[in-house]
Amino acid sequence: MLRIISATFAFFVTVGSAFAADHTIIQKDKKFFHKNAAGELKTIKNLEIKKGDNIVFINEDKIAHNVYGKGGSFKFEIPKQVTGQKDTIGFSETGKTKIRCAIHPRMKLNVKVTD
Amino acid sequence: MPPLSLKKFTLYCLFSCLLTAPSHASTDIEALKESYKRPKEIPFPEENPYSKEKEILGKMLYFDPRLSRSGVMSCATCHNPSFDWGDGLPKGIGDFHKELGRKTPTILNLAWDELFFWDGRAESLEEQALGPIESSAEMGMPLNAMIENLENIKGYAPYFEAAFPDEKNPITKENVAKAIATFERTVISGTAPFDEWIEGKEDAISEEAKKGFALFNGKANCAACHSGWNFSDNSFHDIGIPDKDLGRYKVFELDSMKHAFKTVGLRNIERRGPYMHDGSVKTLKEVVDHYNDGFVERPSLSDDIKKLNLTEDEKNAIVAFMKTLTSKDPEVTVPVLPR
Repeated sequence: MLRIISATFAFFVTVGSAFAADHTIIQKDKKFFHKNAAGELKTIKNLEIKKGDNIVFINEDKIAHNVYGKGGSFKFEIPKQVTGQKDTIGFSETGKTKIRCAIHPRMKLNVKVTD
Repeated sequence: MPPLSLKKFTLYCLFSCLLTAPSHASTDIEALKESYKRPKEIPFPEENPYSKEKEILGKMLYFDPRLSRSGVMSCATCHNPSFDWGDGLPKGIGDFHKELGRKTPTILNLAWDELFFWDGRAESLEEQALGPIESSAEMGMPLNAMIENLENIKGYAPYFEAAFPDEKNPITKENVAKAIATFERTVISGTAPFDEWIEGKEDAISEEAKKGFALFNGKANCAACHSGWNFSDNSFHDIGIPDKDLGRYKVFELDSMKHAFKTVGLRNIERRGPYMHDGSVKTLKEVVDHYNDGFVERPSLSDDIKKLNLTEDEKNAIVAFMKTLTSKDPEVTVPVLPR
């Protein structure tokens, strides 16, 4: 299952620019992990990305999660992300936002988007 | 019945897991035990670091009824140390003796919590601390009036100055919140028989309780949410209590959050009844009955709630296990308040 959602308050769907980077975040054991190019997982609390980049959320947990972001002009939500579901959030503006799971609020990730 | 050896216990857990294929069970008993070990330090936030002076001030404010409209209600009126920092009632009693909508939660072990109130509407303990003081249904005290009252109690000034030495006018609502939150973070349940068992004292809990622990982490799937040393992952779920309270949905308009409430910790749970957010369940056995097959099925029901088919012996074992979480906590002294 793949969905693409924009992280700006305008809520338009992004297809990503030619220079946009994808940052993969894995949900597992009720935690957020960053997956690097080698496929290694490392717990993550803060992530800095560039304007136009995407964050790809993949639920590899055995339970359903939620993903929402609030802060500055950012407002987005993946209401329910079941096991195996993959969603992409595009960040087309600079700023800061806190991403959290509404069901499991200890799952949180601070995202800073720069030029 | 002879005590279960580690090998037999591991096999018991494994057997329990294989029977039911629970999503969160672990077959590694040592790793499982490790995940329930008590923390060595209390976490305090960077924005409000610990000091003894703040704790002393916070304890005074916590027990001071002059923070309420009526002058007779303090935080401790409902969050009473004599009742494990709750009130032992099905629902809280607020200003004008009116019953509130939900059960009074304990303040035990809040230093490790993430969001506060049953519906998670407060992001920090500092934010939470002022909520009931200001609420017209609870202590009914406008915060500006609270500050005026505190300024008029001359004996408070040196305590605020000691707690916030870098501030010229330390009697503020923000500092009241910081002091109360600091005190509350020091309210921790003591060492229970379960902790002694975790640390290796094999006879600290009964064989029935050990079976209950295996079921708790296996067939009964309790640990899906009641995990970690305080037995809560701070998650929000609709557990199928048949009432109309929409819970977290009022804060977060997400369909899956309808009727969802915060997962409570289980320390001293034997002494904290009645149970659930509406205080509708009287005993721990009835709590297990609820999770076994007594819940209301509706679209928002948590994915983790499923019929369990527990036997009576299994239910009793889970209750026996939960009773091993009861600690002999030190007696609480009540502060002499400034005049």
